[in-house]
Amino acid sequence: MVLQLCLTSAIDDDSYELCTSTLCNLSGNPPVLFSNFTAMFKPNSSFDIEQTNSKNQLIEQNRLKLCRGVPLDALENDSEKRDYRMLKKFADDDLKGFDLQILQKMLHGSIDVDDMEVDEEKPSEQSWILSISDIPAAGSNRKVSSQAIIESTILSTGGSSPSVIAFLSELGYTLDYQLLTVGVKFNMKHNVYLELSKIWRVEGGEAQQLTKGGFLVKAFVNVAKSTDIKSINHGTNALLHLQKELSGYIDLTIPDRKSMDSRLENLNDI
Amino acid sequence: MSSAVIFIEKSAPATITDFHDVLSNDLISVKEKWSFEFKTFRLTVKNLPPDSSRLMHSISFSNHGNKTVTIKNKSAVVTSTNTGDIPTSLILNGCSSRFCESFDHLLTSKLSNLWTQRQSIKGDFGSTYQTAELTIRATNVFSYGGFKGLLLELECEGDVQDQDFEQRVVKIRKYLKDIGIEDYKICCESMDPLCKNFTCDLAFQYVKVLEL
Amino acid sequence: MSDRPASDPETTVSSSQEDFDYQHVPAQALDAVRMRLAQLTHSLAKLKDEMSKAELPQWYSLQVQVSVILTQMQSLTTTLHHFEELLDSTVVYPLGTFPTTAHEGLLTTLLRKKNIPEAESWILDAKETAGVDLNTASPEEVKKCLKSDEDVTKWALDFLKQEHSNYAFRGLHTSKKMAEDPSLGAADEYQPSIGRSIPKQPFDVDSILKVIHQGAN
Repeated sequence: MVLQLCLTSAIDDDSYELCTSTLCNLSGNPPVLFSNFTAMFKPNSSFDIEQTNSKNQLIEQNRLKLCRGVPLDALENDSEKRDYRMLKKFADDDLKGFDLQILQKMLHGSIDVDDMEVDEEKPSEQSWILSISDIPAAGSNRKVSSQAIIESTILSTGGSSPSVIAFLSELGYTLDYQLLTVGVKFNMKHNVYLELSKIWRVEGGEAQQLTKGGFLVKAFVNVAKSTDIKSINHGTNALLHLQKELSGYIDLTIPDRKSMDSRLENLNDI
Repeated sequence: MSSAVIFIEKSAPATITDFHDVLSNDLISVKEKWSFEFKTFRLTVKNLPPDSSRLMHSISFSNHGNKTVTIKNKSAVVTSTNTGDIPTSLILNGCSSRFCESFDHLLTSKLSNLWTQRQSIKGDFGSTYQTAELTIRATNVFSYGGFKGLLLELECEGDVQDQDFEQRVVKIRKYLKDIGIEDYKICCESMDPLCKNFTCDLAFQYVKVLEL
Repeated sequence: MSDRPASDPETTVSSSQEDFDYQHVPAQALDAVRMRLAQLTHSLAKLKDEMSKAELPQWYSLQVQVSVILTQMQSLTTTLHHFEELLDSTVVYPLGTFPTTAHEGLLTTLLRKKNIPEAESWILDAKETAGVDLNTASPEEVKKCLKSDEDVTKWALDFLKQEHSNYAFRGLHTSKKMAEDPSLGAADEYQPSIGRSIPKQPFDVDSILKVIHQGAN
């Protein structure tokens, strides 16, 4: 169980260039471009699911997050142009030539049998990260958001219905919504990562940008064990230090824990 | 790569020794010890259509890169708890935090409202025999401490024609007959002949022979 | 006991104290002086304590403390001056009921008019340091001394003003350059960019996070 400590903020499109060079100087590292595709699944709504398990423990219905990297070639095939400035062209819904079909192929696998050369695919092209996150911990005197995430790696899928979506449907989960994230990541001091990202919601072959006019800013530290108090304190202090360092420029704040709750219905909200 | 799995329920804990003896003339070497764990999960949802399958199986291998295969119906996923197995692209693209857990753990904690573990079958401290033709893994199988039978995993590395492999399996079956074993389950099928995946197919064969 | 109060010695003492008319005790004046003295002794003790530490406090902290002490002294002298007539004309004497034999020490301390020897030596020390012997010096000499002190202070202030005017503390040019070309300092060329480069919040972060985690729009 990973504990993710985080603080969030936002910047506008016009500040992006100055902001990246500022952060670049601050971190001493160049920004790393990244892109990922997230598919959120929810328990099959036609199922009559109990609120408790066989041990009579309360288990609330929660969404499953399936996540995989998107090749940057698909976003910008000219590798010369592929640096942090690339993001400036994605100010709107339009993904500038990015083929949304790629995402559907990832999820459903190739439907054409002749095209199914699974064995020749690179392992990374079959892998997914499956995760479930709890609602961030409550408490009014918290300085950073802390969310427990349980994560598992799917290396490959097989069978006569080999798509990952087919397996999750057997598991009892159906596709809820899909997101595409493109952003830059900075490796700050003390294992703090800072991401500036643009996020699209993908639906029915169309993409709608959620972060229109700006970038979502997220600074986070991942702590391997939620019981490792020393590392948690260390990470919290590192985040608070960054918050102080950037204050007046990017004001990092604790996000509302309810907005990071991916449970299906917040029936028993604490 | 081809594989086959044999499960001999009508056997005794000492049958593995008989098998070793009958194989002795072909043995090149005796290799590492190995183990596996086979778990059955049951879908607890009440309003499923009556003909739909409720069972899901997961097989964890100590060999085959410590992977776990989870199979339900015609779909399977291969998962790993080995941090080194996480493709770097997933870490670089912000999908993974580098700290992963077993899929079984996910099932028994967060998905326990849907899935309940029903059965656990283990094979511990099994032997690996290398012959010129096959790698044979043999282990006694226990369920909650009780002896269940002898399991053999036959594996052939490299590109071998299906026919050749079948003949090598026939040879093993002949040895089994020599030690008086004729009643057992064997599976050499793959989940989908058009789309082979060695690890998934091997797990599928385990399910076929161990499923009660 | 209660029916024979006159026989109780304590009651007798207290009743005789009640007889005394406290109305003429300058309580207000004494209290005002006492308050200011208490403040001052507290500040002085604090300063003494800090000065005796191995690590001296920062100069600006010392300066602030000294200026506080000076204000308190000023306040004390004003108060003393205000009640001067009243306090000067007040005569202190013990009541007849005061247990003089039992508390002789306390009585002599309370009635002492001279400075205690310790204070006497401080005063002497201060006079010597000032370099003016008040016993021998004529009033003219004292005045002269004070005047020279004021002159030095005035000179120092003027010097500071003069030095300050020699430099340009604003804009992008030195005062020398500006003297050569008066047009340089006319317009304010330097505009800090801080106000413009602070990123704006183009959207509500929580609502975006909500879509990410719940898909809700």
